[in-house]
Amino acid sequence: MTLKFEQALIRNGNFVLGPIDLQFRSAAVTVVIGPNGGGKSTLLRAAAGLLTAHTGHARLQWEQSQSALADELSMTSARTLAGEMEIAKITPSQRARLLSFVPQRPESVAGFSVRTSVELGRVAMRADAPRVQLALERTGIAALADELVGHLSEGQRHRVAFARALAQRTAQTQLLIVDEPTSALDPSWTRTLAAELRHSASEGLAVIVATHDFAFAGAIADDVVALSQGKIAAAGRAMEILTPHILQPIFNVPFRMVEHLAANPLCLPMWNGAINAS
Amino acid sequence: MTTRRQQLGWIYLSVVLVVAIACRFLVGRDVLGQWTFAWPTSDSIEWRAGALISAFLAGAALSLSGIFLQTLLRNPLASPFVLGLSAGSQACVAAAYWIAAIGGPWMLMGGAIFPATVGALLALAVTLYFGRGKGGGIDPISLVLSGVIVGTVAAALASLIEWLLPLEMRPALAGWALGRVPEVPEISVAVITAIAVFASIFVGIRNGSTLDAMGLSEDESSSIGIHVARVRLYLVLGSSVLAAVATALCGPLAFIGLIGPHMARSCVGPRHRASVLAAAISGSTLLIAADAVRHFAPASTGRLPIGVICALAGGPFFLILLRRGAAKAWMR
Repeated sequence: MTLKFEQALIRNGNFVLGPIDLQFRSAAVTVVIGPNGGGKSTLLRAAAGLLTAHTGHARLQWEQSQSALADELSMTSARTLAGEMEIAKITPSQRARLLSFVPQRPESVAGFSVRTSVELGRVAMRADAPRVQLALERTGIAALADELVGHLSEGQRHRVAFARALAQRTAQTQLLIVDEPTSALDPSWTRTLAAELRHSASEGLAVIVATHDFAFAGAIADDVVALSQGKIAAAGRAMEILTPHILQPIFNVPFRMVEHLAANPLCLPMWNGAINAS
Repeated sequence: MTTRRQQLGWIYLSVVLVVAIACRFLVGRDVLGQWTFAWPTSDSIEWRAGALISAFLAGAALSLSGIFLQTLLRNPLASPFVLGLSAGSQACVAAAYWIAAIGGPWMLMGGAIFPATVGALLALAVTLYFGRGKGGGIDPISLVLSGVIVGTVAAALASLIEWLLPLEMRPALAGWALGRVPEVPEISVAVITAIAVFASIFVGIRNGSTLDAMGLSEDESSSIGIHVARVRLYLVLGSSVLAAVATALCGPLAFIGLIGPHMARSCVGPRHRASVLAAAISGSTLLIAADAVRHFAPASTGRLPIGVICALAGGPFFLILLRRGAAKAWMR
């Protein structure tokens, strides 16, 4: 299954993104980068079907071989054919089976226990205690399961939200969308999260992550989309996009190649030496 | 919340309810105005039972309305009184009386329920409209402010309409406007209140997890499969009808709908599967207890209106919640 934006224009309050053409591959991590206000969150919310394309399309497309899946999600009446559907038109219960979304600032009721908050991921589905337990363990919060969410730090609450997304996973899940996960996270959880995102991609999901953290992006990205002022400034394979000559004009700070990691080059902003105190 | 603590919570709620019922049933005043504590005489037993039923239903309805509003708005300061629903009902009921007085008795055919519901819905709509923050989201404190103003204006309108009424119709409406627990409730109003209360409890418990999920941000709740717009509509309608039936029965009562849900959550935890029923019980208990306390008050010229007790007890509670920063602690 692929998620495809075709000439999609998306409005989010006064902000306008697009028109954009984009395709998110399954079994790959796409990292969305760009300056603040560039349209990252808008793109992610549209990808999750939470915003509707004003003009153009944001569609899910599936092959004939996946029609059983589409059937299970009751997304088509033509049972044997390849098909497509606007992502914003799917019902909430289909959405819950099809994708998980972790917002930039997750919110939860302070009086709920961690376990209760994670269990909410399955609110529209059959309860699945082992999966909830697994989600708690993979995010390293199993020991906190009976704590109240209100007693947790911001980073821990982010783990709870990510655990909820993991608990929500079904055999039909196609998309994992995570908005700026690293801003409140310590390095150890950032590493765990990176591994979890790669793992999800290896299970066949299309993983979409917005971030400002270039080390994180370099470590996990297959594809990179750079957004600036509501337009696509650059898009392509990570190796091609995470380079100084592409990033510098977008962010307006110097970048430098630091080191070649296993998969991607590490390209970091290098502004430290250039601060002018006056 | 551990199961053991929850069990204790249920036991506590049941005991307090039974004690409140016993007090209201046994406490009374004799012909000399002295208060008595004894099994009621045969002629007062029906009156006390009637008052108990009224208080039980109206208290539960107010508290359920409160818990639904708090869930809808993710705001622990929300309640039918604070958001102006009760005063909205009051104003519309007064208007219905007025229209009935100048030649449209059909206005009051179904009792006060219909105008009360219209008033509650209108008030909530206006409060929500003005309570929105600039970004379109709802700011907890602005919402409360907007509700208080809507409530004040609606109550003033109600007084204005009362003043326009023929003199002989004023006392009934004025007594009701101060809050009263009727000892002989109008049957149609009581039955509709009972249906609203029990249906809400049933639906609330059945959909407990959905209501729990409404505590997340809108994006999160819709991505875990909640039809947010639909659930919100049900909560708006449900809380308005509940506030309206309670107001039709007992007049605009302050703070029962605020304290009830908090008492419920502190006893059985925040999950709606448990807290919806607990809120109904808490609300009933509070109103019955307030009605019982009323009889202790040394009032030589008649009994204290119950609205006075509710406001005196509930106001400080609201201030304590405000002081504790409850508006911000709800979600994290």
